Amino acid sequence: MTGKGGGTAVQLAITVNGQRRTVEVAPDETLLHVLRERLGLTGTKEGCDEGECGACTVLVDGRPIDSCIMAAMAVDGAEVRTVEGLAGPDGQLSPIQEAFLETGGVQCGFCTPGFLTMLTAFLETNPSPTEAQVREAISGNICRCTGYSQIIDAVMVATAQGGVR
Amino acid sequence: MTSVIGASLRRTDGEMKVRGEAVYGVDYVEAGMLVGKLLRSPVPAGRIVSLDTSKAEAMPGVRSIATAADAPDTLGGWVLRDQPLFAVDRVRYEGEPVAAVAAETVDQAEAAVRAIELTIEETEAVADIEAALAPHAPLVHPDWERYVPTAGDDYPRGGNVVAEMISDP
Repeated sequence: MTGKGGGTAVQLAITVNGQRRTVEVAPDETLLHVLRERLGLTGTKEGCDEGECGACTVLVDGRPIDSCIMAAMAVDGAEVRTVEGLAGPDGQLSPIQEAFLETGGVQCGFCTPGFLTMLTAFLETNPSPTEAQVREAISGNICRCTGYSQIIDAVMVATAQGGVR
Repeated sequence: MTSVIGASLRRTDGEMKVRGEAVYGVDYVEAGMLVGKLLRSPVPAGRIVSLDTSKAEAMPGVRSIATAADAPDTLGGWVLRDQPLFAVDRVRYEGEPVAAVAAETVDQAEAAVRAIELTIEETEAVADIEAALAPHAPLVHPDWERYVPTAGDDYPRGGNVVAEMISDP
């Protein structure tokens, strides 16, 4: 994994899934590395490590970004939401998480956190998308099990049920 | 009795995956765990002229480095035991493991892999069926006669063995 950093440590203050966190990070450390290695949030995955596959997608102030190519210090002060923060406070799955289970949108599951975060952001801005819009929305996420049809089905099921919380 | 045949079933591991709680190999951590990194062949065919791990072994955090010298006779394989743990004297494909480093951190392991001194004299690669069957084609496995088939002794033998998969259009 690149971006584990070197140089003098700096302090990063971010809110992760509603919790305020302050961590010492290297100036060139990636947000992905901070989440996985420093905060122990391993739900976010490292796939290509170059911003191509979308497995590391997290939401920064509601916007999906590839955390493997995002300098952690660049999101100082931001609100970060990862796959671990998609379920409700009571642990109830969000409609898109639930729909992934219903349609078989999960196979090996390695890409799932990236798809779920990407789609959560997408459905917040477009609660009733067409299938073409869904395809466009997930064009930056790669599923190597190639389960795209079931993922698109999941979005259609989730939106028929009223979209994300 | 209710039959599951024909029913739409949910994966038993689905929920932990959508919650981000599933633990994959890369997520697994244990106290004192070491990190392993491989030095792989940069070329598809060649002779290992020299392999020196002494500088890498002296680097910070490095606990151990293994090469073919540590397991020269260990052959693995499914149908035929034809795969050494590490390349012995020659490399047969790009990416073939040549050495493995165990270190305390990823950084240290990667630095040690870079510090291993490997010299390979590149040789002609056999990259397709025509090249493999050519009259004087170099043998990819000169030692093929000592390999042990795992499912009986009717495994096709003799020089290069090639196969091609053709899909029905």
